[in-house]
Amino acid sequence: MLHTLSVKQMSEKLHAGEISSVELTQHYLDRISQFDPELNAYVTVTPELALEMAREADERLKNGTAGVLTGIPVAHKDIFCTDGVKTTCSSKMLDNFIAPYDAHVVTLLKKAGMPILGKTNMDEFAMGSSSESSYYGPTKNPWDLNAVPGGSSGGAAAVVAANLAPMATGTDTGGSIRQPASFCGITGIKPTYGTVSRFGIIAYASSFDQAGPMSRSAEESAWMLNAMSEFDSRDSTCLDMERPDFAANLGDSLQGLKVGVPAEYFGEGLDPEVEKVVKDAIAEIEKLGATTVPVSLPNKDLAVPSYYVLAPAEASSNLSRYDGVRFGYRCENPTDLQDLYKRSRAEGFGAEVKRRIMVGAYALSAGYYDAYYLKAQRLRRMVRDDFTNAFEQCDVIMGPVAPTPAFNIGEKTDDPTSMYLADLYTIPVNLGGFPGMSVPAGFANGRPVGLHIVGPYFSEAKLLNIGHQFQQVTDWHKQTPAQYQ
Amino acid sequence: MKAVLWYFIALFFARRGPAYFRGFLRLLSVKVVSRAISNFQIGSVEVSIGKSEVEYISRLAMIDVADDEVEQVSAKLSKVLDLFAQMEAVNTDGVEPMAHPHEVAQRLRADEITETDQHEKLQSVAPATAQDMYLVPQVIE
Amino acid sequence: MSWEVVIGLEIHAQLTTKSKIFSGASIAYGAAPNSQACAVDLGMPGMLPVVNHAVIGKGIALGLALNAELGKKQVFDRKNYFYPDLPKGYQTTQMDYPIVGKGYLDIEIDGETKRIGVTRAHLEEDAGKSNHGIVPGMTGIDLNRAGTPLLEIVSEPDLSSAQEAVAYARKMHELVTFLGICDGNMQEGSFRVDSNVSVRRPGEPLGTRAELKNINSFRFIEKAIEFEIERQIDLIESGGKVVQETRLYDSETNTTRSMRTKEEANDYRYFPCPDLLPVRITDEDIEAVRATMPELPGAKRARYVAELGLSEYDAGVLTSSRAMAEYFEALLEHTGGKDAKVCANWITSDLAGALNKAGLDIADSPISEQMLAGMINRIQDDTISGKIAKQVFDAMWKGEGSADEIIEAKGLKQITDTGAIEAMVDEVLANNPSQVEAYKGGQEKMMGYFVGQVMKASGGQANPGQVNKLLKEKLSS
Repeated sequence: MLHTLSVKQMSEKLHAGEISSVELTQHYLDRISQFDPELNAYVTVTPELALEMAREADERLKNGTAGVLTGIPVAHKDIFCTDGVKTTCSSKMLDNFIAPYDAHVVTLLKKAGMPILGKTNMDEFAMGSSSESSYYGPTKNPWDLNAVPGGSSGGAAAVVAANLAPMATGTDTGGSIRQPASFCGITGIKPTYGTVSRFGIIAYASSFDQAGPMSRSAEESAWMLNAMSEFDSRDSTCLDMERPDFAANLGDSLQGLKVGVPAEYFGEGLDPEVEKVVKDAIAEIEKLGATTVPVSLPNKDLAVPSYYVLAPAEASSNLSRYDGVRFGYRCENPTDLQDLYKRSRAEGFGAEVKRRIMVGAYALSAGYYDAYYLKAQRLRRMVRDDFTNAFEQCDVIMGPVAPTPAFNIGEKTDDPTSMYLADLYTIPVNLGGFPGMSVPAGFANGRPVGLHIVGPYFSEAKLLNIGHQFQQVTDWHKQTPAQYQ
Repeated sequence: MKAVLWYFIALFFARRGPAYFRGFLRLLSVKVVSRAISNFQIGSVEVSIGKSEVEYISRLAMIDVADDEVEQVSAKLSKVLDLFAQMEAVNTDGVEPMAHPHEVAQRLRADEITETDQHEKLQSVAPATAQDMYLVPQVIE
Repeated sequence: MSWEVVIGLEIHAQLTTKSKIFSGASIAYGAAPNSQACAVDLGMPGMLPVVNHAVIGKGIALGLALNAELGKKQVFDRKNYFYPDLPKGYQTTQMDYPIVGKGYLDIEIDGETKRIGVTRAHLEEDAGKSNHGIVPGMTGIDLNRAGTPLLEIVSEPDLSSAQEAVAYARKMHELVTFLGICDGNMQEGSFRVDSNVSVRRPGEPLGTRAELKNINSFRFIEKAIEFEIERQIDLIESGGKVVQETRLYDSETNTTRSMRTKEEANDYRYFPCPDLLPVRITDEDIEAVRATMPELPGAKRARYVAELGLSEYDAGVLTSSRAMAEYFEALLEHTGGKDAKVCANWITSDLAGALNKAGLDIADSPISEQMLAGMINRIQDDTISGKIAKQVFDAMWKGEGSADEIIEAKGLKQITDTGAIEAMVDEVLANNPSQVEAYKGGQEKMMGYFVGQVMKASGGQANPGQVNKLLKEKLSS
């Protein structure tokens, strides 16, 4: 069965001419038709485009211009603009939106020769941790259809976990790659802020948003990160520096690695089964030659309120462009300009998006700017400095990705703040802009649990190798829910 | 009576340093005075969101909130603001606000025309156009 | 009891870049609707701004010209509000960290110099334009102008009359056009002046101000401010109160009227634009701009008077625009720099008059610097007289060719043949014995008459110097 192969095996077979990209792509398209109706992980499937690109990939495989990912299909989160293909951000607001341009990431992965299977479901405008706020309905967790796949890149995590795509793109603003990766038992890395261009990625919170790869193994993520990160002058925050070969360190020994274990990440609220999985994983890494040191992140609890001021503040402004004038949803028969704006936005956005826009507008409004916005920015620095200080004592920090395994659909939708607290371990990493990764590490209550590995700026290659070494001695990343094997 | 209130509000901001005083000046600069007075308890920025606040935020955010939604919206917003209140107790004196992860400077673009006329393609996703212009309900100036 | 007038100006100067402040779209005026509004300008999803290098240099140039503090660190903020001509729902501008800080501009009022404080100048993006009447009941939005770079130059409320306000605005206009950072075209909206006007009793705190917007000529700015001052004084004296509002000037009735007030004052929720990083400029950046800055009008004027011996008046006219000064300096160069006064005279009288009559700017003059220099050179080498030159000038204006071509075609070459002139002199003296008598009897003013007669006889082509010389010789013998 083609979908049980690793990307490495697929690539070898493609290059050897044992299989074609058209064959491989068609196989995934067939699986999508079969399984996606129950998972609802794709918003749009693009069979014609996928096969067309697969044919081009096969040409390249024949004429010797193919790279390691040429011919391997990919699913893009529906936040990446794709020229000629609907880009909805899982919002009614953009239900009819076809971007006349490609995101930089899409351009690069096209260049790498990866056929596009379709666009994956997500929390509306990436605002959420469960993929339930999608206009197109919730995506289900392949491990348990009653559970959420996490969010906001829930569709991306689900398609990889259910073998409806070998690889997927995601974005992570407060944990949106790592938390769904953890909930679905796959590997995902959010690189250092500024590593991947944000051009053509629909903005949620600009100073946090960062795209990254989602795949089964760390090795595969390393290859994909190589393909999707390149300096892009169109994004002012994209760092103008040489990108390393993120796969170069795969194979380094973990001997002498110093792993920081923050007490604050193992405190109250952490599910004991999750705690056990994470601690066992860290013990496994110690067996590979690493040592642990206790570190402290004293301001961890301030990260959530800080983030939920700053991200909505940026979002409230970033989402002002959805006004029913130049693109997107426009209400019927507006009586005047105000009515056009207010109703288009009230009808086009879902509840959580509206809530964050309003919270953000409030936090920036006269009289509250200093108490909320500036205060949150000061806390942001304190949280970042905690990590910087900790990295003086250790090479990487390890802990849980989320306090619990995947929760049930509908469990947290009534209480926005309980949903916000599901991100308490991932958010601090985004405040600092550090790279963070989730690696499958076991199960709690039958649902997958990820190990969270966070490093200093530009330590992606190291993180990916730690994941890779861990995956040489464990097989959590190879496990697939029975019905999708 | 109003003057006395203002005095206390000014004092409240002034005693908290220049950054807070700037906040006070912002407050003065717009007509949100009565709103602010009704919400500010001296010595705390804890806020609960009432109907008039929801209306004000709805106007800022340009999102219609129907009368029957106000209660629910205000309840949920209040919960979020409770979360914010956790920040209040933390001493952040001397901490520089952080806007970006990296302390790098803006890169500058060469002054060159790189874009060509794409209005047909760009307007193909527009809800309403005429004579190559985007249409909105009449704006009276 | 007397009144004090307090005026501050906010001037929006569009910068003369090729592309927009945050995108690579053209800023050329007058293009077809939305043909110059790219995905970034339209605020399409996923689009991001990148700052145009040229706007920073132009801002630095203004700062240097105003002797201002320069923002070594500048931060672009978002000013949030909804309006159809504002595609992203926010205007990107500089609030707390502008490119130009405190500076000043000296103006001349009734022969006195007055220093006007400049509070700040910041970079920002222009909005699009609304068009009415293309579809009944609808407004059409053209976003070509959206993203055009602007410098908003804010003065201190140091101006105390309409005349001072206009003198300041003109001076600023002269400065930005001289620097070449703005084309200054007020009709096209490249240079827009908003006036904040208030009145008070001497010694009292500042009065409530009204803002006058969108007035596209200096003359109307002056009239509008004058009207507004009168209106406010009348209002207060009759027991009324000035309200803070924006007022529009109607040039037909010479009155101002209140713009429909918005339902509530705006709460713009400024915050640093997270898509942009702080702009940092170094001393080297500043020096690089300084090195390429043109001589400023004030310095130029002083040099014209001191070094070239021009009158204050001529120096003023010649430095009234960068194009004028460039024309003059090119003319001087093409004529060998010999006689600045002659060059100045031809520009300030004949050329300025003809341009004015034709409604043309000096940049569009049908007589180029080279052409005018060709003519002046012919005066200086005695090929033609100053009087004949006027004929040549008119012919050049009509496009009949260069000075040499016209002199040749029309046979205007000056008669310098002494013999020929002498013959004419002799004839005139012989035909006018009584006048010769009168001259010799002491009426020296008769000399003018003889010169005129000889010139007439020569058809204007005799060299007046030679005529004079010969007449004097003959009459004194």
